[in-house]
Amino acid sequence: MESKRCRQVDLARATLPPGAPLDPDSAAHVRSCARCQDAARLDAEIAASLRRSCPPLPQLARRRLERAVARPAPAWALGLALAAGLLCSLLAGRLLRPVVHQPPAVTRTEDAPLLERLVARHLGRDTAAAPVGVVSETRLPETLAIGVVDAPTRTAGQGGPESASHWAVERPLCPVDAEPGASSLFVLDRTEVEVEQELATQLAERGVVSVVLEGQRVTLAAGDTQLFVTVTTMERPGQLAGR
Amino acid sequence: MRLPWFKSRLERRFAAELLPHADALYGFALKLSRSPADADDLVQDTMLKAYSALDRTPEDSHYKGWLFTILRNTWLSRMRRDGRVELCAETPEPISSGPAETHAPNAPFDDVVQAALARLPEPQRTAVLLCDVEELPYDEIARVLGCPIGTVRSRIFHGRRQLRAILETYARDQGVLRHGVQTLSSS
Ligand SMILES: [Zn+2]
Repeated sequence: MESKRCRQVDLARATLPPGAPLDPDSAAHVRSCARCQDAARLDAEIAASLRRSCPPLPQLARRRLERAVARPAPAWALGLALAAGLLCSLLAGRLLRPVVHQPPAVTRTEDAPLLERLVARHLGRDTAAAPVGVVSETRLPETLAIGVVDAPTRTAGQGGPESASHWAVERPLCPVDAEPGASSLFVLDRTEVEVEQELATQLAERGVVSVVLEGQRVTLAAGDTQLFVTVTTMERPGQLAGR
Repeated sequence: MRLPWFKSRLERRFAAELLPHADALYGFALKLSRSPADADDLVQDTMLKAYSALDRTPEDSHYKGWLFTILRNTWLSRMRRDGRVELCAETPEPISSGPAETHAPNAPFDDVVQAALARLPEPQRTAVLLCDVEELPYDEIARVLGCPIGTVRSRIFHGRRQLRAILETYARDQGVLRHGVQTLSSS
């Protein structure tokens, strides 16, 4: 049965942080009292059970929280990101010699990986409907190549990004003779495209990642819900045709 | 539109100081409200309130206790607004009998504990959770509950006793206890 001493020991335990040792007198009582041993054991089992039944905040709720506190970046921030892509295009244009125009053949590339499709669209080889996840595609006017041969109607991804208009005039993407320095900007919806793990890690660490695909410099910059992809021609079409 | 490498100082503080406590807050909110949707809502509300006050909060604050305080106050306000003040009452419902009415004989121990916890008055429930689950120091629990440390100790003492009283028959049947009890809760 519970004695007055048992109750005092209960009180002593309630004044200690979890796991802290009892004072020597109380500890001696517990060693000789079955009731207090059971009480301590049951308290420990209950605490362990309460700790077990604490599920983490669902990922969706966590992301909603992160989005809620995110404030729009100033215009110069977006500019800096896009400048990385533009710089590549300008460098490529300066460093390469003038070219002989050889319009590339239009081929079917719908089944290719997304980045390859974007490169193909930049080169005018892919004129099908915009791939899933592409919100807008723009030929950057600063580096617009001469030699537009056609202007097919875009069938998807009509909604342009709210900020891209500061940087580029929306124009239909169409097959061009990709001059060195020619650039295309693609804005992708991050929730609809899957970024390869390694690339995603580099993006998270550095913000901007550049890769070379088919002689085109592909620069990726991560936004909160969007991914900016700039494709810039670095080599002469003659060289590309030989690949 | 925003870019992740242009986080504001406040956003960085939010990510470093507040967000790590989101899981603990959710667990606590779930035990208060017993509804995942309400718990989610409480955590969102708490975090955004904390975020909006973050620029006026010293960098060396005890964020965890502060967040628990906001969450509890938010929950209590909602209870009062919905006319469910009895849930927040200090006086417990009388726990005359064991657990028969709260669970089946073979219910998992964790489920039985959850049901028992829900029968505690909120101040005791919160005191036990903050002490035994979150392992907050007593002075911080006192700040969350807005009461003296002595009252915190009393609530933990009574809360644990009541949980034992509800659970002892079940625990004995399940072999959690070695001795024939019926003595744990007698007072
Ligand atoms: Zn004893």
